[in-house]
Order: sequence, then structure tokens, then C-alpha cells
Amino acid sequence: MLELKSINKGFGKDENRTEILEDVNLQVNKGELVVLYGPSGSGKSTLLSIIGALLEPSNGEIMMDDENWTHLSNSEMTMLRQKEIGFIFQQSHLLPYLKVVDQLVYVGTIAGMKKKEAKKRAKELLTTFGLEHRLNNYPKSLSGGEQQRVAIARAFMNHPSLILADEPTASLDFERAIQVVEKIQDTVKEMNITCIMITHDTRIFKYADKVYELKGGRLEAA
Amino acid sequence: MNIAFKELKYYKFKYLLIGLILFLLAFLVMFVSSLAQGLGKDNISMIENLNGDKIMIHEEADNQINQSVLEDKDLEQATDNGYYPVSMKMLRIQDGDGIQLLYSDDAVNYTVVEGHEPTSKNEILLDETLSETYKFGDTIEARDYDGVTYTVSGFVDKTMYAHTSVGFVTKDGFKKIDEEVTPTFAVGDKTHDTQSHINLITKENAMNGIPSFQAEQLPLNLMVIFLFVISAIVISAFFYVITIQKTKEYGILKAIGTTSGKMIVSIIVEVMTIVILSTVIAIGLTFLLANFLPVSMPFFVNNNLVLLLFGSFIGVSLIGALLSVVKVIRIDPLSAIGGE
Repeated sequence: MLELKSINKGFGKDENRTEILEDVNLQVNKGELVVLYGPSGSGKSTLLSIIGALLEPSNGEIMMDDENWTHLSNSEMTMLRQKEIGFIFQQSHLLPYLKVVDQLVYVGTIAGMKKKEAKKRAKELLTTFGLEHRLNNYPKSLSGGEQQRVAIARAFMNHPSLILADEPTASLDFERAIQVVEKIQDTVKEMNITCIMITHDTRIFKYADKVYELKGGRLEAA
Repeated sequence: MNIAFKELKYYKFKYLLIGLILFLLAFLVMFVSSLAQGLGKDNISMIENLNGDKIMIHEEADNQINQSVLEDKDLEQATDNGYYPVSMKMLRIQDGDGIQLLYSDDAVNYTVVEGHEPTSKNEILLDETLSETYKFGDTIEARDYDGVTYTVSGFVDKTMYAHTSVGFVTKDGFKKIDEEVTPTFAVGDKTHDTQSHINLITKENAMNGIPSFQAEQLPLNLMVIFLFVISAIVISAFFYVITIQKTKEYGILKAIGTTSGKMIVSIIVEVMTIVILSTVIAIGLTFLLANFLPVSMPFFVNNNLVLLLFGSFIGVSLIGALLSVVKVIRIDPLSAIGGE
């Protein structure tokens, strides 16, 4: 279970200080998909970055099962992102010079997987995401939806315990968006992973187990 | 590291272009330094081949060995200490520039590349640089001595002093222009007390005593240093721009858990691959060129120098890559991805 305990985050000092997040509490169980929404500037991405070990909170604690994910060194944060967290961004953010299968293999090998093993898992995952015919293509020859599916497969590559998705469907048309979200939902349930997704698209809310609104730095159940 | 090579392969054209620029720079460096070495050889190859570490000359010669004259008592002291006396005199020739006519028993080491040693007073063994002007058996006529001629008996590997070819003759041969066979300097190894007007100098002193030597080496070496500076700047600028272009990619790599160390290794692998390939091709071409250039062309590829230049190129490129490395360490994955 992922647990956020009274997370605060502000930037700047003294009179210039602005509070982005105030007393954010959240619990997400394994296999649960949680959706966050809120107006721009409400601190959604900041919250996601804090959970994703890209930013340190000013106050508060992040617990993952029984491990404390706060107050980590830079290299500990890197290891966490490498092994425990899968990111899905608004754009696919694939590496242009790697073939589809290598996008996943690379992520596997930096986390210490053997090349053969990584290749096998990459192929399995890409098949699940309906990309088995695209293994040896470069990202530029893929459609937007396909690219995003590769990016999602990449996020699942290292058996993460947590998936963080920042508007993963923003660059897709509705039909594709639904396919992508269904795929994320299926995989999260199947692998029993915790998933937090930011989205503005209310039509996607029905796929979530819980929906929260972030408003002026505070989290409210919707 | 495999990701670096995949990137090089994907952006072939971009990296080929920088490789080409580095190749041209490296080739220019090799060419100019080989030229400097070649011009050096035209000045100092005779001194390099002297059979001993010390040169005994008259102090008034000012380290120019051809300006020295040794007296009888100097010569006595020289032979007592195992020095080989050398008689050397500039001989102007008809339809030609000049030759350093040299007589000595064992003072100069050389290899006969064509023909044979002079056996009579009419024969002369020439430096191979002159093999384009004269052939075996040709006659050389002195300009300042009526009726003095020599027949070319063969050629030796490069033996020159101050841009003038050396010609070896027998003692009787030397007598044709100097009845006394006046010794100019002497070569040996032992350090000993000398007459006050005699200096014992090293080979290096003698080389630096040649006015043309320093004058030629300095600007050429300066050019080489500048080329290295340019290479460092080109590598720096190019990889810095590429790194900035890839800020987003590096941000993603960091976000998905790539350590800065791994990214730095990949940058260095890329830089090294390009630099090593370009310089190795440049070095290969320099060696190839050296085989095709005529012997009279002052061009000499010094293996040790090539190694040094190769090492310097690698050093300079690492310095050039440093800026990119610093940039990559500082990339914040969050802002690179374009978060809120």
C-alpha cells in the first residue's frame, strides 16, 4: 500500500514562499487505479514528482508498504525510479535511436536484468500491448497511439510496484485514449500494482477505483 | 556501452560530419608535425648520427659545428680522450647548391643505401636527398676549386646539416680542397678538462646552434598547438550543442532511473569512438603519404611523436567532452520533461 502522510511542498523563502501542496494525505492499495484531477497550477505534477522520487517534499512522509520513501539520497532516488516506479508521461518520450524492443530492453538492463531475460520480457509485454509487429521499428515510424503504448509497456518493464501516469492520453484521440487506459487498468490489476494517474478527461474517470480532486494544494475525494 | 553505439548508428550523418572535421584536423596536425620533423631532419640528421654524445668545438664557433676549427694541440687532446676528429667544409658546386664535404674515420654513423663507400680520392658518397639530382657515376664539379671533381660512388640514408647534404670523401679526397685536412670538430663520449678555448657541447646544443633549426621548428610547433586548441573547441562546441539538443532525452533517461554515471560513460564512449576512428584514419593516411612523397621532400613520420599526438587528441577530446558532462549532471529530469 502506498501512503502519503501530510505532504507539504513549497518553493521560495520567507515572503516569496508559495505553498504548492498543503497537508496532502492519500492511501492507495495494491491493484488500485487512482485518478487525480484539478485545474492547472493546482500542484498535480508536483505531487506526482514527489511520489515519483523526482522531488523531495518539504514536510511529510511517503510510505510504500513498510519502506520509507522520504529523505533519500540522490542515488537512492535514482534506484527507486529504476526499480520500483514506472513513469508514463504526457508524450511518449521514447528514445529516437532505439528500436521498440530495445526501448524496453534498455530499461531492463539498467536495472540489472540479463539481456536475454530482458528481451524475453520486452517481447511478452509488447505483445500484450498489441505491438508484436512493431518490435524492430524506430519510434518515428510508429503512430502516436503506438508510441504511447510502447511508453506504457516500458513503464511496466521492471516489475514496478508503482505506476505514475501524467496525462497519458492527452495526445491521443478518444478511441485510442480509451484503449490505452483500459490497457493500463488491465495490467495494473493483473500485476497487482499501485497506479496514480493524472487526467482531465472525465470520460476516463469510470476506469478508476477512486477519484480525487486537487484544489489549491489540498486533496479532496470527488 | 551499447546505447552509445546505437545512437551513433542512428544519427550517422551528424556524427560522420564531426568525424570528418576531426579527421581533417588530425591529418593537418600529423602533416604539419611530420613536416616540422622533416625540416628538422634536414637540419640535424648528421648531428643525430654522430658517433658519440659530446662534441668538441672551438668556443668562438658559437655552437655551430661547421664554424669551428681545431688546432693541432686540441686534436692531440681529442684523440687522447677517444674522440674522432671530423673535417667538414662547405663545397659549392657547379650547377648546384652546395655540399658539406666531410672526412672522418668513424665519427658519423650511416647506412649505404646505394653504391659503395668512397675508395679513391675521386669518389664521393652522397646523402640520399641528392639522389634526384645526381645518379651513381655522375661527376660533381667544384665551383671554387679549379679542376676539382668527384664521382658519385653511392648514397647514404638522410645525412644533412643545416639544410645542406653531406658528402663523404676519403682523406685524400678531402686534401683536394684542403691540403692540411683541418679538423673542424671532434666527437666522443668522455667528459674531460679541455683547453679554455674549447667547449664540450651536447648534440642538443649543436642542434640548437643551427640558426634555421629553431626558426623553423617554433612556428610549426605553434601551429600544431593551435590545431589542438581548435580541436578541443570544436569537440567541446559540437558535443555541447548535441547535449543541449538532447536535454529532454537525458531528462527522460534520468526519470526512468539511469544514473548520471551511465550517461557520462555513454557520452565519453561516443566522443572516444569518433576521435579514435578519425585520428587513426588520419595517422594511416600520413604513413601512406610518407611512402609516396619524394625523398627530397622534408617529411618525416616519427612514431613516438605520432603516439604522443594520438594521446594528446584523446586528452583534448576528453577535456572537450567535459562541458557536456557537467551539463548532463546538472539536468533536472523534471524540467527536462516539461512538468508543471
